[in-house]
This record gives sequence, structure tokens and C-alpha cells, in this order.
Amino acid sequence: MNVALNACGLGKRYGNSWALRDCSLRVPAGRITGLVGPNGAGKTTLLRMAVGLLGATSGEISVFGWSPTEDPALVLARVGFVPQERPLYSGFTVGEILQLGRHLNPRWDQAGAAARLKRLDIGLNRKVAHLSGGQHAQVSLALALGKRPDLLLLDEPLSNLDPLARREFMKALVEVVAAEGLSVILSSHVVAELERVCDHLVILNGGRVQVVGDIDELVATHKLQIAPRQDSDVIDSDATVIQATHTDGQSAMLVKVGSRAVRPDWEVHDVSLEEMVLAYLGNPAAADLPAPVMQKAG
Amino acid sequence: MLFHLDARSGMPTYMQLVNQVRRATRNGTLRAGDRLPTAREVVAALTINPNTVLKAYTQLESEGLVISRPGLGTFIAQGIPAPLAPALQRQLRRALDAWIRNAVSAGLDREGMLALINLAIDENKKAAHVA
Amino acid sequence: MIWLTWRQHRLEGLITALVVVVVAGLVGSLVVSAQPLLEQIRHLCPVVVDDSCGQALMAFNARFGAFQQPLYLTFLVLPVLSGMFIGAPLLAREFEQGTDAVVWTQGITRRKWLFVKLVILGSATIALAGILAVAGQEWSTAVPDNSYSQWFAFDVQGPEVAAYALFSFGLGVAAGAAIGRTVPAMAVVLVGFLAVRAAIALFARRNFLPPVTTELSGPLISGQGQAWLMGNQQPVDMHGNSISSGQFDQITNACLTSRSGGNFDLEACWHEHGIKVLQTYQPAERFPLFQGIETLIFVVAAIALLGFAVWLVRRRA
Repeated sequence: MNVALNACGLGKRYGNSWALRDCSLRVPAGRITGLVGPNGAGKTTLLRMAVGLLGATSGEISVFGWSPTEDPALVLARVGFVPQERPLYSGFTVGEILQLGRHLNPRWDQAGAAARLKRLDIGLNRKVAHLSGGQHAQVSLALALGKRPDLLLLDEPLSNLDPLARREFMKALVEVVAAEGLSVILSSHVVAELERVCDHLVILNGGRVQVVGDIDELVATHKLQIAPRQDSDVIDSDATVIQATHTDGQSAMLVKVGSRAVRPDWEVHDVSLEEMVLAYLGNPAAADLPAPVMQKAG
Repeated sequence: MLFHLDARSGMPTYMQLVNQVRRATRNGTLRAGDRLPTAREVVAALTINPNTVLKAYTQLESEGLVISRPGLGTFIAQGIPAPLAPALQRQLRRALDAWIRNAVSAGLDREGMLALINLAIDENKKAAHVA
Repeated sequence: MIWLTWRQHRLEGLITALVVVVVAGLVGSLVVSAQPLLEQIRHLCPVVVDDSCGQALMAFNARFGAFQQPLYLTFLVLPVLSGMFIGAPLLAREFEQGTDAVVWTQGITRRKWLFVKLVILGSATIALAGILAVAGQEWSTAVPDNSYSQWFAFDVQGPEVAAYALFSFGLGVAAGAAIGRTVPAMAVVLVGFLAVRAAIALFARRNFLPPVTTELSGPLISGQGQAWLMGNQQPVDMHGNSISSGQFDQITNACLTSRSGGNFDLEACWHEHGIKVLQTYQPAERFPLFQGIETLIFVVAAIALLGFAVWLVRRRA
């Protein structure tokens, strides 16, 4: 597996609190990976560390084997970034934003970027401040893609976009992935946004990695078991039950397949990705991680 | 071939695509030699992950339903099971209509009927495996 | 990167340049229009002051005196603007708008980004301040010696003007880097620059070198010999002991009433009475040296502030 991003024991501390703690994960190349978690879970911190805007307090992170803080030129040549809230210089025109990209990047596909914006009917003479939310987002995306990166990081790219703009942004994104095969990591705290487009998932909760895996596999390996009322104390202490709800007569337990014996009189249902994610977020102690890999970065 | 996605069905996207291709070959929409849309075309139409399309096409190829020719595309394989003959289709349909009439007068609604049918399919599958 | 620096700062750069050019032009035109009167004064005012010289000086002051204060204040204030409007927003605006995350994730390191910006904007600041200093110099040399001392024009001429501007710029950049918000950084520049300038000008400058206390020969008109007079004249006897002002006035009056035309030498008369007048001052010759010291202070401070800003930016990672 080609690894796009590799974090090993990564931590970031601000004063007395850790935004990220003991974070180890490998994000495969060639996939669209969703990074989900509640606000403050560490998603922005992780992405900013991947692109060299923040340094690690502990542990290491590498992108295609290079360290973002020690080899920034190498990493920045291969990684595009769309920061939270998609900031741009509002006094610039769209064309000047592209010029910025052209001047600051060693490799730049001006023709491709201009064609992309033309297809979306975004004139190069428009001032950034006069663009609609959706157009502004497309310009941010075009800027990040102009250097023809191998990895694209997007921090909550769909926030504050109306549904049509969201769909068009995602469409532009998957089209370029289909054409160029680049790897993508995008963060969101809204699972539904990512479900359509992501095939890999990372759940961050309270600064720690809870789940890493292929989405189809995760969904297939988690089920909802409906059983006659169980002893809630017993269930709560059972580490294989990720989430349990009880009514008078029944208990519903979201479990990882194969981890518990199933009685024949129990119902077994599939779970949606969102249900699975919510269950994990509600139970920070639970985790679904691949076997630990302590690979030295770089 | 137009794909569509039921985001709420709970079935993984790639399986939906696989099923849609299977259904299309069975009812004659797709015939042997027809080219399936490229991954880029499907992605542009549905805004889904390109790997999902590839996964679906790989699955179909492993079932022998399609053949992928590098550089040319993915094509419905020769020798796929012929679509259901119209006569057979009519016969099955008549039996189904009668069953539905019975079920309705027994008081079953759509959910009840579908639950019973699913149960029957599952148990028949189990029995087939055991045998 | 050069393109980006120009594109982002062209507005404030052009406005600053315009202001400097207008002020320098104004000063230049004043100097030119004052030439006839200045010619007159040069003819009429040799070392000894008499009536016609005094009248010419008064005519000059009547016509041009009103400009002195406002121009002086303008020269004092202009360097603040470079810190507030060019230095402070440099980093603070990027942090405020989040564009640091955009521009530092293209292909350029933040070190290079900062270096190019500081070199270009710092050089422009120095160049524009240089124009101002030249104008200040012209004005200062034009104004007749007798009407004031060169030391009063210390702040408007010479390399120190560029040093003030660079210091202001450095203060702005550092404040912007530390605070991360433009308006508070601008406030820090305004207050900080004025406070430091006032502190140095009013308290430190007079002590760059220990002042000299000797008998100041020649007519005791402020500005004579272009020395920087500090404190009052100290009348003493021949052993160096102070004498009372009553005694001094008595002797001076006696000297003045007993004078007989021609070249009257008040100083010789004092010596005959056994007194002399001491003055604490900085000699005129020390003017360039003091300019150099003040320049050095502000340049070192500017470099320290810019270095601090660079360190802060790198530490953010």
C-alpha cells in the first residue's frame, strides 16, 4: 500500500491541553479519506501539521515519506491545502489568485486552472469579494489543484455552502480524482457529506484516533444486534459493544462482527456509516484500528 | 446506461451499481458487447468516489458479467445469461399477482409482504446451501 | 514573490510615496521662495547682530515662521505611518484573515516569504525616508543660523530619519507578529514609537557624550556657534564658586553702561571684574557624531525588532 500520510505517536500541546494525543495512523494513497470528529477533535490540527503550518510537540508525521517541517519545499510541492473557511485575498481578482499560485509554486498548470474556472463560468476578472460562496470555494480548490499535487487536504471544505454549491464542489473534486488519481483527505463534522465520496475513514475524538479503515469494510463489519433486555451493567463493561440502548423489553447493541456470540433469537441489522460513527463518538474508549505500525517516518 | 444512487438504501454504493448492471443485462437494457460508462463518466454523473466504480466493475468482472479491455473500456461479456424470456416473465408475474391478492386480503401491507418475501428468500438460500 | 509583495502593498506604498513627495516638494518650494530674503540676511548679518539684520530676520520669520512648526511636526509624525500602515498589517492581516494558511502552503517557505517582504518594504521605507531627510536638510541649511540652532533640526535631517522610519517599520512588523491583529498592532506602533522617540530625544540624546562645561566665548545668543546649550549660564568667580544673580546683574549692568562704542567686549569686562560665565553644552562639532549615535540606536532597535518578528513567525510552526 502506498502511504500518503503517516503519523506516529503524533501529539500537539497548547499550554496544558493536547489538541492531538498519541495519534498514529496511515492514510493510503489513491483514496478519498474522510476525517470525521466533533469540533475540537483535532482535525484541523492534524491537517495543519501535515502541511507544515504547525510543528509537533511529540511524535512524527510524514507525507509521502517527507517531513513537512524539515523538508517543507518537498512536501509543499506535492501537497495542496484548502484551509478552514477557504480564505483568499478578497481584494484580488480571480486571475490574480491564480497568478499568486503561479509565482509561488515551482510547478504550476496555469492552463489547466484557467480552463477549470472557465468551465465553471468564473471570469478571471471577477473580484474575489464579489464571488458567490460556491464560486469562492471553487477558486480555492483551483488554487490548491494548480500545482498538480499528489495529495489534497481540505479542512471542512463544505462549511457554509448551500446544497447546490456543496454538490458542485464535490463533483469538481471527484472529477479531478478520477482524472488524475490524486489522494484526498477531507475533514468534516457532518458524516453524511462524506459518505458519498469517501472510501476511507478516520475518526478523531478528543485528540485521539479512534477508527481507521476502509468504509465498505467498516460498514460491513459492524452490526446492530437486537436482543431481549440485557443487564446494562454487564453490557456497559463489555468492550466489544460500542453502543447500547435499552428499553423495557429489548437491548440494541452496536457491535463489531465476530466479536460477540449471537444467539439465534436475536435480530441482526446492518448499520449506516453515520450510525457507526455516532456510536464511536459517543464511546471514546472504543476503537477500531489496524494492527499498530511503528514505522519511522521518512 | 444510466446509473442512479439511492443514498438511503443502506446498501453500499458499489453493490448498487453492480445490481443495476445485473438488472440491466437481465431485462435487455444492456446486451453483450455494450460498453459500460467510464469511471469518469459515472463519477461526473453521480458525484461518487472513482474507486467505487472500479470496485463495482471489478466485482462484475469476477462474476464474469463484464470484461475490461485496457484503453478501450469495460464491456458486457459475451455469453451472459439471456434476459428472461417474455413468456416466462409473464408466467412468474401472474403467479405473483395471485399471491399479492391473497396477501392483501390476509391483511398484509407492503412492509409485511416484503418482510415475508425476504424471509422466504433467506430460508430458501439457507436450505439450498445445506443441500 | 516580488510580484506578490507589490500587488499586496502597492496601495499603501503609493500613498506613502505620494505623501513623502508632496511634503518634500512643499519644503523644496518653500526653500526656493525664501531665497531672496535669505540673500538679504546673509548680507546683513555677519557675526555681530545689529538693527538691519534683526529686521531682515523678523521679515523672514513673519513670512516663513508659520511653516516651521507644522513642517516639523509632519516630519516627526511621518515615520509613524510607515509602522502603522505598512509594518503592522504585514503579518497581522495575514493571521487575521487566515491567508497565512494559503500563502505559506504554496511552494515557498515562510522564511523566504518574510525575507523578501522585509527587504523590499524595508528598503522602500529607507528610500522614502531618505527623500524626506534630504528635504529636511535643505530646509535646515536654508534657515538662517541666527534664528535657531542646528540641534533643533536634529530630527528632520540626516541618516537618523531613515533610522526612525526603519524602527517604526520594525516595531509594526513585530507588533503585528506578536499580537496577530492589525488595529491593536497599529496602536502599539503609535504609542511605542512616540514614547521611544520622546524618551531618546528628551532624555538620552543630551547624554550620548558627557556635556562640556567651559566658558562659552562670544555673544551669548542661543545658537551662536551652533552649540547645544544646556541649562542656564552659570556666573562664577575666578575660583569657580557661584556668585549670586544679584551680583552678576550688578556687574553686567556696570559693564554695559560703561561701554564705549566700537567693538564692545562684554567678556573682557567680566574678567576685569573677576567673574566669568560658564555654560554647559554639547559642542557644535559633535553634531554629526550624535547623529551617528542616534542612527545606530534606532537601526539596532529596528534589527532587533525584525529579528524578533522572524523568530515569532518561525516559532508558530
